[in-house]
Amino acid sequence: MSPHDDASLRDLAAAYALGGLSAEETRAFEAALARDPSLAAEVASFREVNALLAEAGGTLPADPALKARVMARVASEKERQLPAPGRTARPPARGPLPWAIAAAALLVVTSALLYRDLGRTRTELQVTRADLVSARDSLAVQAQTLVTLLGAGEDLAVVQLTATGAEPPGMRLFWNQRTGRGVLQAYRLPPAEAGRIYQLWLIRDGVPVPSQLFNSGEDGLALVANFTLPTGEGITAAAVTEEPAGGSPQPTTPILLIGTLPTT
Amino acid sequence: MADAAAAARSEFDAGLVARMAQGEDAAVSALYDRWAGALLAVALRITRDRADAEEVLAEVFAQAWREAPRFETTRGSVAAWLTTITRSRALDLLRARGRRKRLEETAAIEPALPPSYGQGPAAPDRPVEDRERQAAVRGALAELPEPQRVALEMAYFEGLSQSEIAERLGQPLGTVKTRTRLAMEKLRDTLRPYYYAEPAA
Repeated sequence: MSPHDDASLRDLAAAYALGGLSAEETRAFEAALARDPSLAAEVASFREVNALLAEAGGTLPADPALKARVMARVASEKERQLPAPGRTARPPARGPLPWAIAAAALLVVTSALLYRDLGRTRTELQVTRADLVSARDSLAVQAQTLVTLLGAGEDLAVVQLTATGAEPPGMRLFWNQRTGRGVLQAYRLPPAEAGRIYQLWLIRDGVPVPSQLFNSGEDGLALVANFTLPTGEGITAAAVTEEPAGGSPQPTTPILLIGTLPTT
Repeated sequence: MADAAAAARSEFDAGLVARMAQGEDAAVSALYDRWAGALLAVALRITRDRADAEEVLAEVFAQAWREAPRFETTRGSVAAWLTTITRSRALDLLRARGRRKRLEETAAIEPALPPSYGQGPAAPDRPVEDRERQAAVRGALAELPEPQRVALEMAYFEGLSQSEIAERLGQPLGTVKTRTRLAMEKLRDTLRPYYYAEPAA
């Protein structure tokens, strides 16, 4: 038995709910918790106070890029946890490969974008049945695109493009190297200046080869599905620059995002 | 007892968790829209690092996803559940980072945080009952005796342990524990009408 009896442990319920006890006290308290339901009720009531303090403490803007990241984390959780035999439009299981998780994450990002377009399901009451049905149908289409990509098997390359800075933009490029189709998804990327656009480059033998043009929305997200990419050998990296609208044959500004292809 | 509007919202939250347990992304999305801002602020106050706070938030929703099938409304509100997860993950991360070092750091992140209690107006974009609740919490905090309020704010907002608070204040550990307990009990008694849900006894 610890130096505490249950009565004195009761006095620690508030500190426990705040996560402020030492490791030893926490162990003793949790042992008591398991044998005393009234102690659990005591903790639960303090947790309601915690919740009130949380909301009254103010909120921070939780921007769409962060939401996409959170949704992606949940998706990877889903991938790991649920064999989900009843769920449709899931890519074939191929084991815990990093790209499979990333692709599932992209699916969720896609659904987030679809949701935005479907009428701003910002408030709880707007999550209507009709939206869910349309989203599900649209998701099925997107899922087919993903399955096409996943069908690439070992010919699928995933390139993570990064930048520097405090909250840098980022991008993922999914590239079926056999069929030469790709999907890109950028986040925390502010929209290009007026009259400008972002351009993807593939670096072949050190020379930038022009590729897809795209732009991001006000929320910093960009998604281009199923565009054409070269299939050739010798490509070692992908990069993004900001160019005049219409694109350029050669980069005219410094590289904004860059990532190397995984070596095979 | 929670009032009717709060009860309805709490029920809505619980419905979202139930749908999340069924695997619906839309439910996660709605839950995020509803709570992410407040949870992010909680995590940032404890971690004092925006990237860490965002990492915590992602972990919170991943854990909520895992545990949704086991969520029981009789054990408390969704708000309390999410707040508890957030604080636990933030404190875990703090321990992993070495909280000793953090204790010596200055409060450089402060400008990024929402106004503290007693400062600034209540968020104008929130529904009336939220603003009333926020005003009630701020009022209840303001009514606490200063030493109790200080101990509570260190525990809640900074995520300090009871012994760290004792060290910081130069007070005996027992004194800090008593102040924390009295503060929480008083808040509980004063704020019970505003609970998101009443846990079963």
